Amino acid sequence: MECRDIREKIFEVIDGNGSVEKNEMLSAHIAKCDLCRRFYADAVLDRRLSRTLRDLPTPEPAPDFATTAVQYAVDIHRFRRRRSFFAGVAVAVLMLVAGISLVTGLINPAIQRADVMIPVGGERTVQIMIEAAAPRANAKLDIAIAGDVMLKGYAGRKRLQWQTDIRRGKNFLALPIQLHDSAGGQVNVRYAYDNAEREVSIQVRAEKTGAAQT
Amino acid sequence: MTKKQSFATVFESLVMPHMAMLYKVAWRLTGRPDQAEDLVQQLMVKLYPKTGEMQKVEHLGSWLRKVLYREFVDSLRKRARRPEYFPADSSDINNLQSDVDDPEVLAERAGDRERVQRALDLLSRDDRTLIIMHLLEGYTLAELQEIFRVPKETLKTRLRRARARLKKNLSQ
Repeated sequence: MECRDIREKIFEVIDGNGSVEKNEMLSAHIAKCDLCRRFYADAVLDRRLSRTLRDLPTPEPAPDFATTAVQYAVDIHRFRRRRSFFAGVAVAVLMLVAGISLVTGLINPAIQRADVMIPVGGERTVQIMIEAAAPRANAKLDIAIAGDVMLKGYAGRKRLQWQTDIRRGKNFLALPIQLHDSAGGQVNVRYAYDNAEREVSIQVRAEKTGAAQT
Repeated sequence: MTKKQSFATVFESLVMPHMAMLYKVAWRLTGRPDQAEDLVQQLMVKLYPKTGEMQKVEHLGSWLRKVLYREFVDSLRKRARRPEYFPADSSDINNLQSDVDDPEVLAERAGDRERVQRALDLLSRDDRTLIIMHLLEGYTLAELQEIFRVPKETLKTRLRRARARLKKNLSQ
């Protein structure tokens, strides 16, 4: 019998909870064949490990995890459809849904884009909603501003960075964006946790106004 | 009930019975509860548009499990930022010899849950993934090859190295 046949037999015996030692033919071969002896030892080890791994206790998720995760998936897709309806429309407050909990493990950030229309010289508040399935400590927030826009209260600042804790559920970041010139501008909000990153890119465009409006 | 509500309800009724299993598998793969939750939630978002497809799946549990693996492997691949997930280099395999030579001692230790858990926790994420998928979930090399999309020889080398590391960790 060749080594290949012997190894098949070894699997059969082990799978049947039998003992290779009790099988004369197998034990005789194993005694004289180093490779098959090693193969047998590995097979026994693997089987034992498989059993132990199956028995390892698994921690329970948060009690409402399943419901939250499923609902989140439903909400985010509904919102995406709704957002496409609002895109480009001048709305006083733009809500962007983003899920930091969705992207753990990803290096390339998922980028969400949105347009917001603001009259030149005017201001609109954009709210970004970050919904997290679990609390996140020390999430990094990074805001980069380009073009003729600024955040109210941060004149001249093109970059804002800080760390914050994100609560479970909905978190809101309000950005009071001011537009100074018809060329428009861009506000990029990037937030990260561990190696996960998410970016929201807000393109600010000038809203065409009537003659009476300044 | 609106059409959208119906779609959401169908999705919920399909996946909810499998959430506990998915979380369990995700935890085994990631080794961390928060990452397990993230992985499952990430999967839910991707699956929602495929609700219609899921309705036609005969063994949804197995299907979901496989999709979860793919999702996890994809996230590893993106994290690694390299076109091929597994390096074929096996030059350090000789440095991974177990400190315990006696197979019976190792086999006995393999039955110790705490020791196995510790040995598993010491593995890299890539090694842990392979060990879990092969030894615990029972995926064959051919199936793993399909999931990881790498040459069989590369996979074999990687698996051999992962097992050697696990044995070394067990012997410590």
